[in-house]
Amino acid sequence: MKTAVEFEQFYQTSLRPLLEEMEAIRKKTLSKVILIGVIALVLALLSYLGFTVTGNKGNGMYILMFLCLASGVGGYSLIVGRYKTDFKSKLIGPMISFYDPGLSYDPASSITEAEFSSSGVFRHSADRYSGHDLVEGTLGKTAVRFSEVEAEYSTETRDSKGNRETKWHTIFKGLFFIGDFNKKFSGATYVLPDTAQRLFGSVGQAMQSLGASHGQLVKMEDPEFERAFVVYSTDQIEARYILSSALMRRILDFKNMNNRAMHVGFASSCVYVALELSNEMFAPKLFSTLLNPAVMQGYWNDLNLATGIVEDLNLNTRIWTKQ
Amino acid sequence: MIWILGGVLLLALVVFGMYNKLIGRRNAVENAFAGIDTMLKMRYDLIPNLVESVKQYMQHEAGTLTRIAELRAKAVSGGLSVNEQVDVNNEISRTMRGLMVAVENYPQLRASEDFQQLQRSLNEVEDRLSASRRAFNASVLDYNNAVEMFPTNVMANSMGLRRRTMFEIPEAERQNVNVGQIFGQKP
Repeated sequence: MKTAVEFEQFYQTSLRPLLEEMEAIRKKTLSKVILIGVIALVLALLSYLGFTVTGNKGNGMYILMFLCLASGVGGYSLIVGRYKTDFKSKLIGPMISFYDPGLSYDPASSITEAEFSSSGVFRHSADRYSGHDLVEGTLGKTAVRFSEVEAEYSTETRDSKGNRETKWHTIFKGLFFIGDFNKKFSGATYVLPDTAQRLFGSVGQAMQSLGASHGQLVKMEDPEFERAFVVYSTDQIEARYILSSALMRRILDFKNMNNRAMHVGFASSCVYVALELSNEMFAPKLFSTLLNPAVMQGYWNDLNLATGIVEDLNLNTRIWTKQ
Repeated sequence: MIWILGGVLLLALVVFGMYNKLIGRRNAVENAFAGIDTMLKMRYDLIPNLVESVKQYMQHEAGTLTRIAELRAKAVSGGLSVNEQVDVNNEISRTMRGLMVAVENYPQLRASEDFQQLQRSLNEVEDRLSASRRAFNASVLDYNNAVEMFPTNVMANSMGLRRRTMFEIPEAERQNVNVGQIFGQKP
């Protein structure tokens, strides 16, 4: 793990030349994207005008216009896709290796759907699942894997005319982190955002025990923690063994510091942390310059957010029988 | 007539509900107490190993080691009242904490792999013990609320259910045996 000062040095000596090289590629990509956009629009317009002048307005015109615009969009995705791959392998990869040589990075992979669902953190089964930017390796004594994931489920409705409409609902979108937990345990314990108690007080707490799909409701002693989270577990004692007073404080501090909705699960000897993100973590910038130091600083902060879980939840302290 | 019958039925349901709630909570307290017992037994099992592995190094602490062995023997002999059990175990905790502090003065012992493994086990048992005490207290809180709050208190009185006392967990005991320091790690 590296400090902010070390990152600054790395930025000046190693990243800066790469950024300059990448900035040239970005400008070229941007010109290509604009060119393709203009060509697609002009072709669509010409086909519209052509059909209008000859008086043949009909389905053919719309199909041709659609084809022009679709090829524009196709061309855009292809060019931007290439730029993204280039960007991540040239900049994000080296940044992660610098952060800790024990980490490896694969922009195209992610936490698998099987891992996501077997964690049990989210109970709704996903109908559509995707992810990217997998980082894995060992931080100190803790094996970690994390990536961005998006899981959705669909519902179908029929309107009065009998037309079917599919709606997609997000189960989770953000950073999904899996770390080797430092204590042995056999059941499953979940720390979830507590919306019921925050909104409805003690009535809400009573409701929590009714809808306990994650196991039994576990009432913890820390009132501030209880207001922010609700805990479910397969075992009342084990939940408290995992969630020591110190760990409860650490989870609460981590949530307050990052101010994001946070789900934590403890199962199969691992800790799972799902942190909602509004923006993609390592998304390349296309429409603004890469030479602004704030750009790489943003990616560095994203990386620290994920890897910080190890430090913040004290996962490297191995004073129990699990080493 | 139907109204009266309905009223009686409703009242009966409420009474059954209260009765079951009280019994459920009393059983939860007993279950949680059994949890503490299990952890205590795990600790009793570790003590002879601990004494055995440290005695050759810690000759100056012979008195402490003998005391721990005596306390353990007393605890496992049975026939102690709940209060006596609590007292004996509190003393075991205190003496063991003292012993772990004394370990600081024996670098050879600290470096021994067997001892480190034993300390890990001990740490785990202490943490599990603390967790089971917290679970016990949480179930006592639920039980006491039911016994003292209206309307279940009326039912509890007639069933002879009394308020239970929680475990007092002193500040020193809330901290783990600090093996972190011994291993040169952050606690």
